[in-house]
Amino acid sequence: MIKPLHVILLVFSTAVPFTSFAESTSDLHIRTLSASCFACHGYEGNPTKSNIAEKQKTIAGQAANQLAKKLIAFKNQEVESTVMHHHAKGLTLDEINLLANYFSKQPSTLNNVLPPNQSLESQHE
Amino acid sequence: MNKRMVRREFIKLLGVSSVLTQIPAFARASKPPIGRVVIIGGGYAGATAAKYIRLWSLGNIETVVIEQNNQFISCPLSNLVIGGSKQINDLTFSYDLLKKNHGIKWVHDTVTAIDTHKKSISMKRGEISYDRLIIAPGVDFDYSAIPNIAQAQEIVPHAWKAGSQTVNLRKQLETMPDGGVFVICIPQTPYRCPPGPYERACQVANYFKEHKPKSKVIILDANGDIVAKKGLFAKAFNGPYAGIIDYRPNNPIISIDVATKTVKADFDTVKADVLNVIPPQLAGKPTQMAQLNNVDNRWCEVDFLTYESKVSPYVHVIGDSVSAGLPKSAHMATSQAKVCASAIVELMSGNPPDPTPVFANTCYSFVDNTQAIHVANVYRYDPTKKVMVSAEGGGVSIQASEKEGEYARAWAYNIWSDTLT
Repeated sequence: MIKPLHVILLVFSTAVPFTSFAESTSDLHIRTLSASCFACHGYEGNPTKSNIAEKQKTIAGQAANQLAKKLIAFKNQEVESTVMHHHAKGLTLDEINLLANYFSKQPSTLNNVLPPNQSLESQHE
Repeated sequence: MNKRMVRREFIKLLGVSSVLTQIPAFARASKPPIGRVVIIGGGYAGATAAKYIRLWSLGNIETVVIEQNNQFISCPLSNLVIGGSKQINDLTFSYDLLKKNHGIKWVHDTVTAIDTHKKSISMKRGEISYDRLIIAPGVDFDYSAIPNIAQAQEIVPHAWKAGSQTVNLRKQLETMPDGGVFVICIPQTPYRCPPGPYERACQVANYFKEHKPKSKVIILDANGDIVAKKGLFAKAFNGPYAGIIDYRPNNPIISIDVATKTVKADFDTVKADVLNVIPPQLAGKPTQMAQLNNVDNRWCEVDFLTYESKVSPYVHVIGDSVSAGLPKSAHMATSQAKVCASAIVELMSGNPPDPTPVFANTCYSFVDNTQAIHVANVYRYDPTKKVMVSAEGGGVSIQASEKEGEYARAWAYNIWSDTLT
């Protein structure tokens, strides 16, 4: 669906190409939902470079149908799970498919690094 | 720092990023920006909001963070510093990559006043105006019931904001002779990190068990029961830490004698060798300056689609300062920040925000050096109640495990990377 603002910008803009990054309501919905997965699974589904990352499964770039199948299995508690059943049960089937699709499209990389550590300075409260 | 200086620093910053092999999206953004968002506070919530506004607006929204500290110090995992298996420098980070990677303007200053009518912020060294403001200051401490402790934090640290007080508390535990008593006082909910005090008790007990076996931990809880991961913590208190941890609920503080480290509580009077008082809390000072604390004069009511304050338009509040039936956790703060960032990008480009936001929260606690437990939940916007409510299926670990300890460390690495790079 083309939003009115997009039309206006298409017609009038020469130097202002900015429209929303998200193209639809479901894009918007999954943009923030997928980003809330990053805390455990890494930015865009790639675990942060570390000795633990080697053991961690990368969800970025996995086939969408495989990711969806896994999430549905977690939701229905058909597979062993430590944490993920608590999340999958709270998602709708639509959300599961959109998340699977989103993460399948992210390239699998090892680009996510830790921020540099520092020595503690004195600080404000 | 005045606005012109901010701009000059920003141009310098763009110069640096252009030599990188991968030019970030913001460097290709059109000029001028469609508006300016100022964010007060560079903690989990504020730093995340800054990054995602830059990313999702493709660099078309000018984003300024005002932060009074030069460093980011993580509260998550800081109880491990108190337990002795982590050092504070492991949790202390530079903001440099966040600033550089996303073209975020950074002002190192302290906010002194906020004029929401003029949309202007005063700082110790300058002023700045905004189109939209995000306030993400974390919590402030309320010492009104225990005023003498406010001046005695060197002796009685809270260590509830990671940093020098965390190090102080660890040092006190290290110098305490074997046979000593550690007393931790927990305020009534809501407070930052509901499971945190119980995790801390486990960390100290684990340290005592290994190094000072005659020592004890007494928990004076103002609440009627353990408020988070109850069964799992009870299992730790009565299992590996039986005879070390003495849990005493319904014990709000009446008074404290600093000289003797004696706490008079509702039911008990106890003398500590090391005393850790976590004071009652309220939304951080900048929210008070903007008079946004409309819930119990403490917390800030927001619209959960945008995190815009119910008191003041164009001002958003995220993180621990928000009044919500949600745990005040780092993951929650970042999830709120992302919903707020997404909504602001849409509003500033003339589009409606997501009408039904959904996000996840996972919170780990370490019960010793290697084993952790979790609580995990999806939260979903309820259009009738207009609040975020727990989706079905959330829950806690079956038992503490080393596997979850690994998950917890991975969580920390990933959220640090997501928030700060």
